[in-house]
Amino acid sequence: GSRTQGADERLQESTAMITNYPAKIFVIIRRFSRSNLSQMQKKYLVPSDMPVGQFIFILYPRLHLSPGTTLFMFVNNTLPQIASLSGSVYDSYKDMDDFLYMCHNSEKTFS
Amino acid sequence: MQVKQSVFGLYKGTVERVTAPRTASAFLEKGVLSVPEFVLAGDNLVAKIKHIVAKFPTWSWCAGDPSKRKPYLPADKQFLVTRNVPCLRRAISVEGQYDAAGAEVVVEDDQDGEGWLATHGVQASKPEEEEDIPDMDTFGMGRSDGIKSSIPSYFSGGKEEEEEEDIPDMDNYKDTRADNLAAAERSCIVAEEPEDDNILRTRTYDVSITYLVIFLKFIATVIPTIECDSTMVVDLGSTS
Repeated sequence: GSRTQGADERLQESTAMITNYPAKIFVIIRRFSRSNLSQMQKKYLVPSDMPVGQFIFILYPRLHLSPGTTLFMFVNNTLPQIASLSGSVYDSYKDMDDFLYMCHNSEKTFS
Repeated sequence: MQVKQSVFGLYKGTVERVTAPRTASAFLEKGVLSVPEFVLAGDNLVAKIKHIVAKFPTWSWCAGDPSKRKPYLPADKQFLVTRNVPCLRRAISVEGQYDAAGAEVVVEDDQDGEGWLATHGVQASKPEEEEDIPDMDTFGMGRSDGIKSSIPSYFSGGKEEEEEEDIPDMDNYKDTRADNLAAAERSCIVAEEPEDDNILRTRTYDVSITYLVIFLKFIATVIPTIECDSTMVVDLGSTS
Protein backbone atom coordinates (compact mmCIF):
# COMPACT_ATOMS: atom_id res chain seq x y z
CA GLY A 1 0.00 0.00 0.00
CA SER A 2 0.89 3.66 -0.07
CA ARG A 3 2.26 3.55 3.44
CA THR A 4 5.17 1.38 2.45
CA GLN A 5 6.09 3.59 -0.47
CA GLY A 6 8.67 6.27 0.03
CA ALA A 7 7.68 9.91 0.07
CA ASP A 8 9.47 10.49 -3.22
CA GLU A 9 7.53 7.74 -4.92
CA ARG A 10 4.25 9.10 -3.68
CA LEU A 11 5.13 12.59 -4.81
CA GLN A 12 6.05 11.17 -8.19
CA GLU A 13 2.73 9.38 -8.40
CA SER A 14 0.75 12.45 -7.39
CA THR A 15 2.56 14.65 -9.87
CA ALA A 16 1.68 12.24 -12.65
CA MET A 17 -1.93 12.06 -11.49
CA ILE A 18 -2.30 15.83 -11.36
CA THR A 19 -1.01 16.09 -14.90
CA ASN A 20 -3.28 13.35 -16.17
CA TYR A 21 -6.42 14.35 -14.31
CA PRO A 22 -6.44 18.11 -13.73
CA ALA A 23 -10.14 18.25 -12.77
CA LYS A 24 -9.85 15.60 -10.09
CA ILE A 25 -8.58 15.41 -6.57
CA PHE A 26 -6.83 12.40 -5.13
CA VAL A 27 -8.19 10.92 -1.95
CA ILE A 28 -6.65 8.10 0.03
CA ILE A 29 -8.94 6.52 2.60
CA ARG A 30 -7.56 5.24 5.86
CA ARG A 31 -9.15 3.62 8.84
CA PHE A 32 -8.92 4.76 12.39
CA SER A 33 -7.13 2.04 14.29
CA ARG A 34 -10.07 1.61 16.66
CA SER A 35 -12.58 1.41 13.85
CA ASN A 36 -14.01 -1.98 13.03
CA LEU A 37 -14.95 -1.19 9.47
CA SER A 38 -14.03 -3.61 6.77
CA GLN A 39 -11.26 -3.14 4.27
CA MET A 40 -12.22 -1.28 1.11
CA GLN A 41 -10.90 0.39 -2.00
CA LYS A 42 -8.52 3.02 -0.70
CA LYS A 43 -7.65 5.33 -3.55
CA TYR A 44 -10.20 7.56 -5.21
CA LEU A 45 -10.25 10.08 -8.01
CA VAL A 46 -12.97 12.57 -7.19
CA PRO A 47 -14.20 15.47 -9.33
CA SER A 48 -13.06 18.62 -7.59
CA ASP A 49 -16.43 20.29 -8.11
CA MET A 50 -18.30 17.65 -6.16
CA PRO A 51 -19.43 18.35 -2.58
CA VAL A 52 -17.65 16.26 0.02
CA GLY A 53 -21.00 14.97 1.25
CA GLN A 54 -21.67 13.38 -2.10
CA PHE A 55 -18.34 11.59 -2.06
CA ILE A 56 -19.11 10.24 1.40
CA PHE A 57 -22.49 9.14 0.10
CA ILE A 58 -20.73 7.19 -2.63
CA LEU A 59 -18.44 5.52 -0.12
CA TYR A 60 -21.43 4.36 1.88
CA PRO A 61 -22.41 1.20 0.01
CA ARG A 62 -18.78 0.16 -0.30
CA LEU A 63 -18.43 -0.15 3.45
CA HIS A 64 -21.39 -2.53 3.85
CA LEU A 65 -22.63 -0.65 6.87
CA SER A 66 -25.64 -1.97 8.66
CA PRO A 67 -28.65 0.35 8.56
CA GLY A 68 -28.54 2.94 11.31
CA THR A 69 -24.78 3.20 11.27
CA THR A 70 -23.30 6.61 10.75
CA LEU A 71 -20.17 7.03 8.74
CA PHE A 72 -17.76 9.75 9.76
CA MET A 73 -15.04 10.94 7.45
CA PHE A 74 -12.26 12.93 9.05
CA VAL A 75 -9.74 15.13 7.32
CA ASN A 76 -6.94 16.26 9.61
CA ASN A 77 -8.99 15.23 12.64
CA THR A 78 -11.81 17.46 11.48
CA LEU A 79 -15.17 16.61 10.02
CA PRO A 80 -15.23 18.58 6.78
CA GLN A 81 -18.37 20.52 5.98
CA ILE A 82 -20.35 18.24 3.73
CA ALA A 83 -21.48 21.04 1.46
CA SER A 84 -17.97 22.29 0.74
CA LEU A 85 -16.48 21.27 -2.55
CA SER A 86 -13.95 18.50 -2.44
CA GLY A 87 -11.56 20.73 -4.37
CA SER A 88 -11.48 23.34 -1.62
CA VAL A 89 -11.06 20.68 1.06
CA TYR A 90 -8.20 19.29 -1.00
CA ASP A 91 -6.55 22.70 -1.29
CA SER A 92 -6.80 23.30 2.45
CA TYR A 93 -5.85 19.89 3.78
CA LYS A 94 -3.81 18.01 1.20
CA ASP A 95 -0.74 16.29 2.50
CA MET A 96 2.88 17.03 1.63
CA ASP A 97 2.65 14.40 -1.09
CA ASP A 98 -0.35 16.15 -2.72
CA PHE A 99 -2.81 13.46 -1.72
CA LEU A 100 -5.77 14.10 0.51
CA TYR A 101 -6.00 11.63 3.38
CA MET A 102 -9.39 10.86 4.86
CA CYS A 103 -9.95 8.70 7.90
CA HIS A 104 -13.21 6.94 8.46
CA ASN A 105 -15.01 5.73 11.49
CA SER A 106 -18.50 4.54 12.11
CA GLU A 107 -20.90 4.73 14.98
CA LYS A 108 -24.22 3.12 15.73
CA THR A 109 -26.94 5.70 16.01
CA PHE A 110 -30.57 4.90 15.42
CA SER A 111 -31.88 1.55 14.57
CA MET B 1 -39.06 -0.12 11.47
CA GLN B 2 -41.92 1.03 13.67
CA VAL B 3 -41.27 -1.75 16.15
CA LYS B 4 -37.56 -1.11 16.11
CA GLN B 5 -38.16 2.54 16.83
CA SER B 6 -40.40 1.93 19.81
CA VAL B 7 -37.99 -0.64 21.19
CA PHE B 8 -35.27 1.92 20.81
CA GLY B 9 -37.41 4.57 22.53
CA LEU B 10 -38.00 2.23 25.46
CA TYR B 11 -34.30 1.39 25.66
CA LYS B 12 -33.31 5.05 25.52
CA GLY B 13 -35.80 5.99 28.24
CA THR B 14 -34.57 3.22 30.51
CA VAL B 15 -30.92 4.04 30.01
CA GLU B 16 -31.61 7.71 30.64
CA ARG B 17 -33.33 6.85 33.89
CA VAL B 18 -30.60 4.59 35.24
CA THR B 19 -27.50 6.26 33.81
CA ALA B 20 -26.23 9.49 35.24
CA PRO B 21 -25.48 12.07 32.57
CA ARG B 22 -21.83 12.20 31.77
CA THR B 23 -19.91 14.87 33.63
CA ALA B 24 -16.31 13.89 32.93
CA SER B 25 -14.90 14.43 29.49
CA ALA B 26 -14.41 11.36 27.32
CA PHE B 27 -14.52 13.04 23.94
CA LEU B 28 -11.10 12.01 22.74
CA GLU B 29 -11.38 8.42 23.91
CA LYS B 30 -14.98 7.65 23.10
CA GLY B 31 -16.14 10.54 20.98
CA VAL B 32 -18.98 11.35 23.38
CA LEU B 33 -19.75 14.66 25.05
CA SER B 34 -20.28 15.42 28.69
CA VAL B 35 -23.11 17.77 29.64
CA PRO B 36 -20.84 20.82 30.11
CA GLU B 37 -19.17 20.04 26.80
CA PHE B 38 -22.52 19.83 25.08
CA VAL B 39 -23.55 23.23 26.45
CA LEU B 40 -20.16 24.70 25.55
CA ALA B 41 -20.24 23.26 22.04
CA GLY B 42 -23.76 24.59 21.60
CA ASP B 43 -22.73 28.02 22.84
CA ASN B 44 -19.90 28.01 20.33
CA LEU B 45 -22.24 27.00 17.56
CA VAL B 46 -24.65 29.79 18.44
CA ALA B 47 -21.85 32.34 18.91
CA LYS B 48 -20.19 31.42 15.66
CA ILE B 49 -23.06 32.66 13.58
CA LYS B 50 -22.64 36.16 14.90
CA HIS B 51 -19.31 36.32 13.13
CA ILE B 52 -20.52 34.99 9.85
CA VAL B 53 -22.60 37.74 8.38
CA ALA B 54 -26.01 36.89 7.01
CA LYS B 55 -25.18 33.26 6.55
CA PHE B 56 -27.98 30.85 7.18
CA PRO B 57 -29.03 28.41 8.54
CA THR B 58 -28.26 29.48 12.06
CA TRP B 59 -28.37 27.58 15.29
CA SER B 60 -30.10 28.70 18.43
CA TRP B 61 -30.89 27.22 21.82
CA CYS B 62 -34.40 26.15 22.62
CA ALA B 63 -36.14 25.70 25.95
CA GLY B 64 -38.66 23.27 24.53
CA ASP B 65 -41.67 21.78 26.27
CA PRO B 66 -41.35 22.25 30.07
CA SER B 67 -42.80 18.80 30.73
CA LYS B 68 -40.04 17.16 28.73
CA ARG B 69 -37.29 19.19 30.30
CA LYS B 70 -34.11 17.37 31.18
CA PRO B 71 -32.95 18.44 34.66
CA TYR B 72 -29.25 18.07 33.88
CA LEU B 73 -29.39 20.72 31.15
CA PRO B 74 -29.97 24.45 31.71
CA ALA B 75 -33.66 25.27 31.35
CA ASP B 76 -33.10 27.62 28.44
CA LYS B 77 -30.58 25.33 26.73
CA GLN B 78 -32.42 22.06 26.25
CA PHE B 79 -31.64 21.54 22.62
CA LEU B 80 -30.26 23.29 19.57
CA VAL B 81 -32.36 23.99 16.56
CA THR B 82 -31.87 25.46 13.13
CA ARG B 83 -34.95 26.12 11.08
CA ASN B 84 -35.78 25.99 7.41
CA VAL B 85 -32.65 24.23 6.33
CA PRO B 86 -32.75 23.93 2.56
CA CYS B 87 -32.74 20.47 1.09
CA LEU B 88 -32.13 21.23 -2.53
CA ARG B 89 -32.16 17.69 -3.78
CA ARG B 90 -33.46 14.37 -2.65
CA ALA B 91 -30.84 11.82 -1.76
CA ILE B 92 -32.35 9.55 -4.38
CA SER B 93 -31.56 12.07 -7.10
CA VAL B 94 -27.92 12.08 -6.06
CA GLU B 95 -27.94 8.36 -6.56
CA GLY B 96 -29.57 8.72 -9.95
CA GLN B 97 -27.17 11.41 -10.99
CA TYR B 98 -24.28 9.25 -9.91
CA ASP B 99 -25.49 6.35 -12.01
CA ALA B 100 -25.97 8.69 -14.96
CA ALA B 101 -22.57 10.28 -14.58
CA GLY B 102 -20.87 7.19 -15.86
CA ALA B 103 -19.47 4.01 -14.51
CA GLU B 104 -16.79 3.87 -11.93
CA VAL B 105 -13.48 3.33 -13.62
CA VAL B 106 -10.27 2.03 -12.13
CA VAL B 107 -7.27 3.82 -13.58
CA GLU B 108 -3.52 3.91 -13.13
CA ASP B 109 -3.04 0.46 -11.69
CA ASP B 110 0.28 0.57 -9.97
CA GLN B 111 2.59 -2.27 -9.07
CA ASP B 112 1.00 -3.07 -5.72
CA GLY B 113 -2.25 -3.91 -7.46
CA GLU B 114 -4.47 -1.11 -6.33
CA GLY B 115 -5.53 1.47 -8.85
CA TRP B 116 -7.41 4.69 -8.44
CA LEU B 117 -11.15 4.49 -8.56
CA ALA B 118 -12.57 7.39 -10.52
CA THR B 119 -15.95 7.99 -8.91
CA HIS B 120 -17.54 9.77 -11.84
CA GLY B 121 -15.60 8.28 -14.69
CA VAL B 122 -12.59 9.98 -16.10
CA GLN B 123 -14.42 12.29 -18.46
CA ALA B 124 -17.35 13.05 -16.26
CA SER B 125 -16.38 16.28 -14.58
CA LYS B 126 -16.65 18.44 -17.66
CA PRO B 127 -20.14 17.51 -18.96
CA GLU B 128 -21.45 17.48 -15.42
CA GLU B 129 -20.37 21.04 -14.97
CA GLU B 130 -22.22 22.10 -18.09
CA GLU B 131 -25.34 20.41 -16.89
CA ASP B 132 -25.21 21.98 -13.45
CA ILE B 133 -24.56 25.60 -14.23
CA PRO B 134 -27.36 27.38 -16.04
CA ASP B 135 -26.08 28.67 -19.31
CA MET B 136 -26.68 32.38 -19.67
CA ASP B 137 -26.96 32.04 -23.42
CA THR B 138 -29.99 29.80 -23.14
CA PHE B 139 -31.63 32.51 -21.07
CA GLY B 140 -31.02 34.84 -23.97
CA MET B 141 -29.11 37.20 -21.80
CA GLY B 142 -25.58 36.77 -23.00
CA ARG B 143 -24.36 38.18 -19.74
CA SER B 144 -21.46 37.00 -17.73
CA ASP B 145 -22.14 38.66 -14.40
CA GLY B 146 -24.03 35.79 -12.86
CA ILE B 147 -27.56 34.55 -12.46
CA LYS B 148 -28.49 36.95 -9.68
CA SER B 149 -28.33 39.94 -11.93
CA SER B 150 -29.80 38.10 -14.87
CA ILE B 151 -33.06 37.24 -13.15
CA PRO B 152 -34.18 40.76 -12.22
CA SER B 153 -33.21 42.05 -15.61
CA TYR B 154 -35.01 39.16 -17.20
CA PHE B 155 -38.23 39.99 -15.45
CA SER B 156 -37.90 43.67 -16.00
CA GLY B 157 -37.44 42.87 -19.64
CA GLY B 158 -34.10 44.47 -20.28
CA LYS B 159 -35.69 45.98 -23.37
CA GLU B 160 -33.65 49.13 -23.63
CA GLU B 161 -30.33 47.45 -23.99
CA GLU B 162 -31.26 44.32 -25.85
CA GLU B 163 -31.86 44.19 -29.53
CA GLU B 164 -35.00 42.64 -30.96
CA GLU B 165 -33.54 39.24 -31.68
CA ASP B 166 -31.98 39.10 -28.26
CA ILE B 167 -35.25 39.22 -26.37
CA PRO B 168 -35.52 35.90 -24.55
CA ASP B 169 -37.86 33.39 -26.05
CA MET B 170 -40.37 32.45 -23.38
CA ASP B 171 -40.84 28.85 -24.43
CA ASN B 172 -37.18 28.29 -24.75
CA TYR B 173 -36.67 29.76 -21.32
CA LYS B 174 -39.24 27.53 -19.70
CA ASP B 175 -37.82 24.40 -21.23
CA THR B 176 -34.32 24.98 -20.05
CA ARG B 177 -35.71 26.15 -16.77
CA ALA B 178 -37.20 22.77 -16.02
CA ASP B 179 -33.96 21.02 -16.77
CA ASN B 180 -31.92 23.36 -14.71
CA LEU B 181 -34.28 23.80 -11.81
CA ALA B 182 -32.15 22.02 -9.27
CA ALA B 183 -28.99 23.66 -10.46
CA ALA B 184 -30.47 27.12 -10.44
CA GLU B 185 -31.72 26.64 -6.92
CA ARG B 186 -28.30 25.75 -5.80
CA SER B 187 -26.53 28.73 -7.24
CA CYS B 188 -29.00 31.26 -5.91
CA ILE B 189 -31.95 30.85 -3.63
CA VAL B 190 -34.72 32.90 -5.15
CA ALA B 191 -37.46 33.48 -2.62
CA GLU B 192 -40.38 34.00 -4.99
CA GLU B 193 -40.85 34.32 -8.65
CA PRO B 194 -43.82 36.13 -10.09
CA GLU B 195 -45.03 33.33 -12.33
CA ASP B 196 -46.94 30.53 -10.67
CA ASP B 197 -45.53 27.73 -12.76
CA ASN B 198 -42.02 28.93 -12.22
CA ILE B 199 -42.01 28.98 -8.44
CA LEU B 200 -38.94 27.29 -7.09
CA ARG B 201 -40.06 25.02 -4.34
CA THR B 202 -37.34 24.14 -1.93
CA ARG B 203 -37.96 21.51 0.66
CA THR B 204 -36.81 22.72 4.05
CA TYR B 205 -36.30 20.97 7.33
CA ASP B 206 -35.93 21.98 10.94
CA VAL B 207 -32.87 20.24 12.30
CA SER B 208 -32.32 19.91 15.99
CA ILE B 209 -29.48 18.60 18.10
CA THR B 210 -30.43 17.13 21.44
CA TYR B 211 -28.31 15.71 24.17
CA LEU B 212 -28.82 12.00 24.54
CA VAL B 213 -27.26 10.17 27.40
CA ILE B 214 -26.38 7.15 25.30
CA PHE B 215 -24.62 9.03 22.55
CA LEU B 216 -24.42 12.36 20.89
CA LYS B 217 -23.81 12.34 17.19
CA PHE B 218 -24.21 14.80 14.44
CA ILE B 219 -26.74 13.25 12.16
CA ALA B 220 -26.00 15.66 9.37
CA THR B 221 -23.11 13.57 8.17
CA VAL B 222 -25.49 10.94 6.86
CA ILE B 223 -27.84 13.23 4.97
CA PRO B 224 -25.79 14.53 2.09
CA THR B 225 -28.43 16.79 0.60
CA ILE B 226 -29.46 18.69 3.71
CA GLU B 227 -27.12 21.62 3.86
CA CYS B 228 -27.30 22.23 7.55
CA ASP B 229 -23.64 22.41 8.38
CA SER B 230 -22.64 25.72 6.90
CA THR B 231 -21.73 26.94 10.37
CA MET B 232 -20.60 23.65 11.73
CA VAL B 233 -17.03 22.49 11.89
CA VAL B 234 -16.26 19.82 14.42
CA ASP B 235 -12.67 19.76 15.48
CA LEU B 236 -11.18 16.87 17.37
CA GLY B 237 -8.13 18.87 18.29
CA SER B 238 -4.77 17.27 17.87
CA THR B 239 -4.68 13.59 18.57
CA SER B 240 -1.56 11.64 17.94
